[in-house]
Amino acid sequence: MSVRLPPGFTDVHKEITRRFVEGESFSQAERALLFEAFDLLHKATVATEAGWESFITTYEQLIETPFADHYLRGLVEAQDIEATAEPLRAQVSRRIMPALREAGLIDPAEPSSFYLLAYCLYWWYAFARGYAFEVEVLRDLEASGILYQAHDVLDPRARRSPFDLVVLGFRGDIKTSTYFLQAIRTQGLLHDFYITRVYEPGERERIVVVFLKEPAWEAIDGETTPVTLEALAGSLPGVFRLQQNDTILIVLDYEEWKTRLLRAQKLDQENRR
Amino acid sequence: MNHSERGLEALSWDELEQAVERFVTADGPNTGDLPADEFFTLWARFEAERRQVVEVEGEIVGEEVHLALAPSSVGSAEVKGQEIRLPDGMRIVLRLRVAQPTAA
Repeated sequence: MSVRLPPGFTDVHKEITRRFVEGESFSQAERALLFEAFDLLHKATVATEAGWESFITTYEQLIETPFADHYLRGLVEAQDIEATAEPLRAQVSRRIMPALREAGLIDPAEPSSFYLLAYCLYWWYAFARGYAFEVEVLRDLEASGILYQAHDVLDPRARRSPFDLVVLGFRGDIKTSTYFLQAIRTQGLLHDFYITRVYEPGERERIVVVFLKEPAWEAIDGETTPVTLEALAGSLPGVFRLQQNDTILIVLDYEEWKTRLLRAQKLDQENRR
Repeated sequence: MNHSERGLEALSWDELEQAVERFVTADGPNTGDLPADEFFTLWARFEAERRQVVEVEGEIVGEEVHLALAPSSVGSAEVKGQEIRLPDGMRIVLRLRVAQPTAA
């Protein structure tokens, strides 16, 4: 049994990975390094009976495939998603180390295999937290009377669709802020709108924010205030126009977006009658 | 102690098991929502870094290569036929030819 770490995975990446497993908190610069470390680990490989396999394949086969359905069904059936999600996440997380050990892929005598464990923990939490947020948002949209089509989170094939939902004909994604940044790093903003969540340190409430590209905004329309990314944190809530190179994004509070969306959908229905 | 010794290799199996248990009990710290200011600052940084790379995809159709910007690079440059125009005015023109078979 052996692990090959990618050439660009340096000692600083190793250190930040260890600190992640030990639950340390990170500065902004360290956070960027953490993202880089776990992106690099996609290219790491582990020797299996079938030959060298990437960490991604191993994670999907040994963690996501066997455990995701149980977790997601628990979320979908839960009355209180947040309260249910945490013990469900923990239940699976405690099985990651034994599952890797049982498969012969993590070995006390071979510390490089510990990186596979760190990788699986990182991506399991990204997956689990991301879907808890997504199910919460979808449930809220339904309760608010918003018309949408979403992929079925209980269907593994549908989960692989490149976008999560369609509203007024526009494709959108629901991502935790950590995973949203991961997408920015690797692929950019491909969809018409994004729903994500941040928080103000010291305040208990989390802020759900919606980013829309211009066509998706024009369908619900309204006044906007120009803003830069750097100034956004101190400006929310409001309706802002953000120029990102040649892309214009409209940034607004989730509740405000729902209000405008409902109005637009009602108008759309009336026009169809 | 150098960085390498500070990696996961520095942990014994018991220490690793304990660290994982603490991690799970703390519900995977650092894996979900970010503070607003950190989120927007990192976004600006990643966007700037991403814009330094222009990814061009090519599809071989018969004897021609059809070029297009990868989705991650839309807006970073312009592709016209076999020419890539960068924002600073630099143009990259591809001149491709079919490889001639080498004599045995």
